[in-house]
Amino acid sequence: MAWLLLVFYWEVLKLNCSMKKEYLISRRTRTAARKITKTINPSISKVSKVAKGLGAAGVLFNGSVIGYNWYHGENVTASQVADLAIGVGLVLAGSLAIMSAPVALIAVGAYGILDAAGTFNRIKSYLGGDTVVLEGYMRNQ
Amino acid sequence: MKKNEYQLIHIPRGLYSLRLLMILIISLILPFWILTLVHIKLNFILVILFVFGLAFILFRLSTKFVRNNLHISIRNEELVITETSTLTKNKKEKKINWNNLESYIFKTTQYYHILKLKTKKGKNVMLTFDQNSQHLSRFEKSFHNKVSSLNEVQEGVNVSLKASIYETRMGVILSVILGLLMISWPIIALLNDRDFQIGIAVIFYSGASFFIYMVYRSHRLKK
Repeated sequence: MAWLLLVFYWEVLKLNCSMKKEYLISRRTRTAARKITKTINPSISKVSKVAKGLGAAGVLFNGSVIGYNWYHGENVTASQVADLAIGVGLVLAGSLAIMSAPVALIAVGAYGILDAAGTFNRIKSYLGGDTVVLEGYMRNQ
Repeated sequence: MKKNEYQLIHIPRGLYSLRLLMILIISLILPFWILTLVHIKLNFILVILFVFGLAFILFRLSTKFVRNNLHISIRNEELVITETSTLTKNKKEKKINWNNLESYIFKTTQYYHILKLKTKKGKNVMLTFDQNSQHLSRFEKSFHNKVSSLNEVQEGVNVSLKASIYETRMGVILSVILGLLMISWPIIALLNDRDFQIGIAVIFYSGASFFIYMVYRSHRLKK
């Protein structure tokens, strides 16, 4: 009896699984697609998803830092806005698929290094990078 | 679904980028605008959670608007692509005769899996698929097989498969440059006692690592 019950449960479970799979395929929902493709091409879709998410996260983080400092009374300079715009531009270049050649990436990497070395300090000041674009919020209150 | 018919998801690049831009703008402006209305001092972590949470919700809610259904049929004479817009429900059909096709290329970027077709008249067709499309791998395999068999059997057809940048020598050189930049950026920032721009660095590091990974992957698969 116990054996029969076990076989019955096993068959029900199998049927349930196959039905679920068919249901997912027929609905063609995003979840279904994701579940099915996991078996087809798992590595690339996962890696690209993480890389894509990090790109947007970088812009949001940069913007949040500027916004937080502005809210707490720090002035927003033109150079900070330019850095934020570079991030947005890089993300948009990727989403428009015009960055398959990683030239833009190399340019941004080189910019980051030169900025870290302080090479851009004079150029930024000369181009008006220290100009206050937006006065700190708390300071005005 | 019949044999040689594929159900894929096409992401219109312009619409996708517009959506991305809107989400970034809204997520960065709305929280601080609300803060100016309620006048409370928030911890930085709470601000980050607020901004990222809002962006996440907006991404989730707007996903379906940038995913068009794409039905592709590989026929003996031509490739038939039918796209149904999610927003307007309009159907657009495009037919490409195999005789008119000059070259094609499949490549993967951070955002899409791309099929670029070049016709003999010099016209380019670019399809940007969602990497989670149901029949993507099957379609790619069938497309390669179809072109190979046509090149062998049919006279006048000579469609070439172009190598993606990841497979070329230039790809390797670029990945080495990117690797060097990735290593030297934090070192130079540390030596000069400067702030490491985390925002831009995250964008750069994610893109550069993806490129290096793709170059490594394509060369490993070649062997």
